[in-house]
Amino acid sequence: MNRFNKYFSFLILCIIPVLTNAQQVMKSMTDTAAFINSLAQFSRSTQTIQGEFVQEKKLKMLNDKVVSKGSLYFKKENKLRWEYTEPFSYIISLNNGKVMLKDEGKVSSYDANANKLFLELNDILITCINGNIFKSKKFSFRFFETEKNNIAEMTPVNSAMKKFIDKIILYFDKTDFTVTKVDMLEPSQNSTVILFKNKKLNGDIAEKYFILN
Amino acid sequence: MKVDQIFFNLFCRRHLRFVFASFCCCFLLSSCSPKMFADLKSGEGRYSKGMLALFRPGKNESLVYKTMIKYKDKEFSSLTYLNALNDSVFKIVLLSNFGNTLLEAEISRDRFTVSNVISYLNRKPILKLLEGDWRILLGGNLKRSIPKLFTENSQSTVFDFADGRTNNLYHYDPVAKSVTMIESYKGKSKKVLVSIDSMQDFQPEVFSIEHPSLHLKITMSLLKKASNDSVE
Repeated sequence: MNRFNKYFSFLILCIIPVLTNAQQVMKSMTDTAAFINSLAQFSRSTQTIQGEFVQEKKLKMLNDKVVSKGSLYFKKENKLRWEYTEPFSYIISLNNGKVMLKDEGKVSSYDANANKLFLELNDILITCINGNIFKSKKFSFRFFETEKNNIAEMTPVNSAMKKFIDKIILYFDKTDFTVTKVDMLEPSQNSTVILFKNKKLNGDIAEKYFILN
Repeated sequence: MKVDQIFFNLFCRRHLRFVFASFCCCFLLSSCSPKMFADLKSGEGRYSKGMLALFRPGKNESLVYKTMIKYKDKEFSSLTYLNALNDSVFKIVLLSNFGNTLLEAEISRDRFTVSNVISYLNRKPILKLLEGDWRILLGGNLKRSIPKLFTENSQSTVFDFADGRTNNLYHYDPVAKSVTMIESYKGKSKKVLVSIDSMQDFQPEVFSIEHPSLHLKITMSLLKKASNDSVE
C-alpha cells in the first residue's frame, strides 16, 4: 500500500464513526426560540416537581462506576430538596435563600447569599428547573434535538467554573418539557450522568420537605 | 604546635563556629533516634509479608469510604475510592458528596502522582499531608523491608517501620490477625494516630486518622464495594 492509500484509509476510518454517530445521535435544533418559549410556558404552569434520580459517575482513573440514587422535590418559587438515599443518606435543601445540609443525621445551615459557592449552586439548580437557565450569562448555549429529546449544551463562560465543569448537557422530553437526563462533563474527562424517573408534576409537596432538622 | 596556639585555634572565631555547628549536629542526631526506638531487634521470624497490609481492593472493584473531615470546628464530608493497580500501586480518588472529582492520585513505593486536583486542594501542604497519611495506611502494603520488633505480648505485636526520623508503629493483633492501630512518630512526638475501630472481610470498616497537633481528624466508614450497575 503506497503512502497516499495509507493516509486515505486512515482518514476514512476516522471519518466513518463520526458520520454514522452524527446521523444516529443528534442534529442542530431547527427552532430554538420556539423551544425556549415552550419551556418558559411549561415552567409558568408548573408549581411543583417531584421524582427520583439515578446518578452514575464514570471516572477515567477507575474501572468501576459510582452509582447513587435518590429523590428530588421542587416547589415554586425557589424551594428544592435534593436527597441521596444510596449509597448513603445526604440531603441538601434550598429554601428561599437558605441552604441546609443533612449528613449522617447532622444538620448544617448556611445563608446562600453569604456563601458564593452555595449562591452559585442555588442559582444553577433553581434556574435549571424553572427554565430561566437560558437567560444566564454564566454559560454559552448550543441547542440540538433528536427524535425524542430537545438538548441544551451549556458551556461555562466563567473561568472559575470552567475548572470544575467542561459542559453540562440537559435532555428535555419533547412531550412534557421535563428534564429526563443531565450529562456533566469535567475537564478531567470524568463524567456524571443523572437520569430522572417517576416524575410527578403539580402534586402536593408538604413544606416539611424543605426544612431539615 | 604550642599549647597556647592550639588554644587560640580552638577558640578563634572560625573554630568556634565549627565547634558550635558540631554541637548542634550531635544534639540533633541524638534527638533523631529517641531511646524508645533505639536498638530494636529485627522483626524477622515474627513478620511475614502482607500481614500488616490494611487494604485488599480488587482491580475492578474499588473500596468506597464515606470520609468525614473535621478540622478545628469545621466539618465536611466526601467520598474516597481506593483501587489497586497491582500489589505496589494504588489509585485514590476523592469525590464530593455530589460526585464532583476533588482529587485523583496514584501512590506507589516511591511516587505520589496527582493527575487531577481541584484548585482549592492544590496546595503543597495539603497534598503532602494526604500523601503522608496514605503512606502510613498503605505501609503494610507498600513496604518491602522487614520491620523492627518494637514490643510483643500475648495481645499485640508492635512492628516499627522506620524512615529517617519517622517511626511508624503498627499494632498487630495475632488473634484477629489484623492491624488495630498505627502510630506515627517524628522524633519523640506522636504526629499521627490511626485507630481501626472495626474490620470487615479483613479490611478496615471504620477507621480514623488523627493529627493532634493540627486539630484534624479524618473518619472513614466503608460504604461498600463500588457497584458495576449501569443506569443506561
